[in-house]
Amino acid sequence: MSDKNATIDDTPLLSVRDLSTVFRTDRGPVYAVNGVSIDVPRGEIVGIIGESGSGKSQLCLSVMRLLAESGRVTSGSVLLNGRDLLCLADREMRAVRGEEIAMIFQEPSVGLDPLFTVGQQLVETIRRHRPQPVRLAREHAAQLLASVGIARPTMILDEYPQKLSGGMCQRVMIALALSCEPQLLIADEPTTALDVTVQAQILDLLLKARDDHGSSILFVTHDLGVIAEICDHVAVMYAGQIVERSPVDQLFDAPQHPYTRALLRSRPLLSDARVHPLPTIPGQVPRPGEQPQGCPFHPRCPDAMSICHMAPPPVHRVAPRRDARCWLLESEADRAQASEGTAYEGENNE
Amino acid sequence: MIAYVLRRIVQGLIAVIIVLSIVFLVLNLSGDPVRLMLPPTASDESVAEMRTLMGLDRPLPVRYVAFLQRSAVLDFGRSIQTRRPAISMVQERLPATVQLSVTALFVATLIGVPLGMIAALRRGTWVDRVAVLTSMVGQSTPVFWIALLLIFVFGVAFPILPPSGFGRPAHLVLPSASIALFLVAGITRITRTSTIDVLSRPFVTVFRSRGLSERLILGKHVLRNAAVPIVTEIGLQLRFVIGGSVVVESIFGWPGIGQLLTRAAFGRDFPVVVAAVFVIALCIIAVNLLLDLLYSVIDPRIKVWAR
Repeated sequence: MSDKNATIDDTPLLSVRDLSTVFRTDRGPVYAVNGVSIDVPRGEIVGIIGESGSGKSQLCLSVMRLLAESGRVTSGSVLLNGRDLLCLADREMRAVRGEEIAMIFQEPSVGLDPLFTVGQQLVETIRRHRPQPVRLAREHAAQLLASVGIARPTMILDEYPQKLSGGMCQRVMIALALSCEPQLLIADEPTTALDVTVQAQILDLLLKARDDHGSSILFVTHDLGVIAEICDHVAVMYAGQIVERSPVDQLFDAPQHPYTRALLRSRPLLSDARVHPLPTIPGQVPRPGEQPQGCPFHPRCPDAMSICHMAPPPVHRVAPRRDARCWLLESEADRAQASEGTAYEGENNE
Repeated sequence: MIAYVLRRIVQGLIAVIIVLSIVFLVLNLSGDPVRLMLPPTASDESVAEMRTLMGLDRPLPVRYVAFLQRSAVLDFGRSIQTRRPAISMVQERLPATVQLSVTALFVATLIGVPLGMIAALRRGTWVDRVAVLTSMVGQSTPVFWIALLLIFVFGVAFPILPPSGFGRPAHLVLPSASIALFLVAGITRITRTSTIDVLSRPFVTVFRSRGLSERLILGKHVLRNAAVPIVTEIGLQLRFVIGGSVVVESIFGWPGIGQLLTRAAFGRDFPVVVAAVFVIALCIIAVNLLLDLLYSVIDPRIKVWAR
């Protein structure tokens, strides 16, 4: 944490630029990720927060190039140490996965093959990246399990995944992800399916991974509490776009985008949770493919203006590493100018 | 587990007794072997004498009990046609049938499983459509027709393979291909469905995220997870292998149990029919038990003996 300022000037470990991901569907192409740019600096934990269906997971899978068959990245770049992952051959990409970027997933208990023991699966992954005799790989696997806080690791090695609890499975998944000390860890809602007490332990493990190996983490969640707890920087995602990016403390102190404000309001606070019903955000995330014209949030936005129906807002830089996409942040003159321009732009967008 | 196997063996024996009882009843209802054995001009006295000699004059229940008792020590009597012990006639034929069935099953699995997996991986493409169509055609085509077609193409039009006979490996090709082509259809279909199901499971994406090669993921993890339904399908098809081999053996002059059974049935050769049915039933029961145990080898979560 202390050297955070020192790393800001460096080129980020991961730099996603204008990434768009499209899915072929019966109703035509659907944009799950729509021009997303996000940086993950070295040693930092960057959070992505958004409701279900906002495209968070598809963004992660796009970076990993693990999209389902019907999905395709149509534009943009994914630079890891300056190398564009989207330009790699399949074979080269496989070498990156697990070695340089590892991923952990939401449902740990279905992420392991039920027909093989934990040890067999760990040894398999270790030997894929570090060829070595099975016996050595097994010792390494036991050390990994111990390092993620599993007591009696050699016993767990011989267990089948279904014998383990969800928290235990997630520890195994983290051990697997950390087996090659990846520079980047992508965590897609790693604690959502777990008990609250286990959640805290898993978050501690991720923090420890960052501190021990200097790994960067891209952390996806819909839980603001988790963001506050472990992230340095946060991006708010809505309908396939990033609507606000900010250092985590500033986001909570002074949210810029109406969606972020609404998210923060819908969070239970101990002081008044019993007195007032929790505010909710009316409406739903637009279904991909049914994006409204203009700003995608305007149908649910309490502050929507006429321009919001017509033109998508530009990215407004608030401070270094801090920006938001909202017409409220633009000057009156800019709005008026955009308003005039929408006559033909609207036709193009159709 | 040993208790489970013993229980299954007892169940199997009961099944064999039921099968034998049905065969006994059907054969006794379907015609008089004495009349068939003696010339049509034989006098009623000689028929009655022959009946007494063969013990056929006793009441049905008495004969039934005696029949079961002798079956217990594998004594099914002597063949009416050849006067040799029926069970040893079947025994001699067993290797040929096993050879044919195992080859057909082996070939069908070797073709059907990869074909089904490829179809699953290339779902929606022309490869998949061709595989699905072929398996539909294959499953709805009778074995005897496939057999005749193969004989015509490879034995007559392009005579590169012997259309019938036994002994050399070449003789094995057409009969086992006839059965295998039928089996491939079912195995391809079930492998495709099962593989598509497994491919949609999260662990496949998780494994890919660790950089494991497609060959390892598909060949090791996906295949093993998809295997239980495939093994079930193969077990179910075993009946068709036996049933099919009766037809196919007759067509190709393959000296197996199927051919023996057909001839014995036409000749009212009770002892041979009973012995053949007994051996076939025993084989099916044994293989089904083996397959059930195989489930637990494939999938450690399945403990058949714990049910």
